[in-house]
Amino acid sequence: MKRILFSLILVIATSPIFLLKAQTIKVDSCDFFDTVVNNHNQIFQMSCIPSAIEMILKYYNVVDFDFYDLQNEWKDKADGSFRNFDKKELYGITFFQKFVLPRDKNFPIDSLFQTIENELKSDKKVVISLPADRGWHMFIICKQTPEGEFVSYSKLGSHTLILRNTKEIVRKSNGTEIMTYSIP
Amino acid sequence: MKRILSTLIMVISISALFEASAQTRKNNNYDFFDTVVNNHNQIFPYSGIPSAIEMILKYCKVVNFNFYDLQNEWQNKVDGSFRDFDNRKVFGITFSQKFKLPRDENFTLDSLFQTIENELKSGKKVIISLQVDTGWSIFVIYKQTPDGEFVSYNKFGSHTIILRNTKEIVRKTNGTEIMTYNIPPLL
Repeated sequence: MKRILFSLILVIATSPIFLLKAQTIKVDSCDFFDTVVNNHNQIFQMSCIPSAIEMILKYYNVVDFDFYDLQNEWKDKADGSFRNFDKKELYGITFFQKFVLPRDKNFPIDSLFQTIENELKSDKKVVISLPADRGWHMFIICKQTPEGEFVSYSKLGSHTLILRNTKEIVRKSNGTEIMTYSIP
Repeated sequence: MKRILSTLIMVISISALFEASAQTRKNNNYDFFDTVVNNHNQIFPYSGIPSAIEMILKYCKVVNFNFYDLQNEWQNKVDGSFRDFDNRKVFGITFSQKFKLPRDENFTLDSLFQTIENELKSGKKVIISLQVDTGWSIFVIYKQTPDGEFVSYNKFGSHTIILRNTKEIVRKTNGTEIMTYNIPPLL
């Protein structure tokens, strides 16, 4: 629990919290993903990967809001990665691990951002690994702001973590992995 | 900042976090308030009251998502209360402070819960003061679950704090205040 709270604090530290500039977008349109994520829980400390997959499945209504089978199977498995879901078809949706590359100066960040942008433009979300504490926490990129930044959501128990500076975080870590998916 | 983090930790500790039982409802209905709250920020540590009012205004679509005038006016005012918005009309919506009563064994909990339930059934949200840590934080009750509990949201910077045990928290404090609102028919 302490580790999770510490992680949250670090996540928070990487995002502008108070005294931040008020959001300037004027989008009053609805996104069903907001309802999905706010009704979802991460039910184990280490189950953020299956939790993110479950949110995608709920977004497409292929499972109900009470679906937690993937997290219940995963529990606190600590040696998991996106590989566990790579090329795996779940309820008709196939997931793909991408940008498994060394995180250094040669990481193709522009290509990563373009890939994410293309997915969002096709009305899909993108699962992304972002640094938190000394490890990594899974988020879902849900939209791009008019300024070009990506907004990412994750869960801390029942709470919804929201980062509005995803690109900035990715640049600081010299790249990261993502998961995309295809729908039949 | 330390106080805010401490508050968040207490908020987290009083809510069912990990090992929480999976939500059992099968209601996949979209609620615009989810989009409102996830696009909203609390921009000062002590601006919880105007932040909640702004979320209601955004939910009623009388202001845009970039509206933060009430928080910017309030800043870090520490002596504010629901009284600051009681009987106040903001963009056509009139807010009312209710259940300003001593928090003791005589508090009319059933009446409070029934009032909240009635507001939710009429499609409205309810602003509520909930005890977290040693202080009180302002939440917006968003819905009632099939088992009767109220789900409440508030903001911690950009993050959305979600409590699924609102009644339990209110019972522990022997009551609390709420704010309701009236929308003119033409809105």
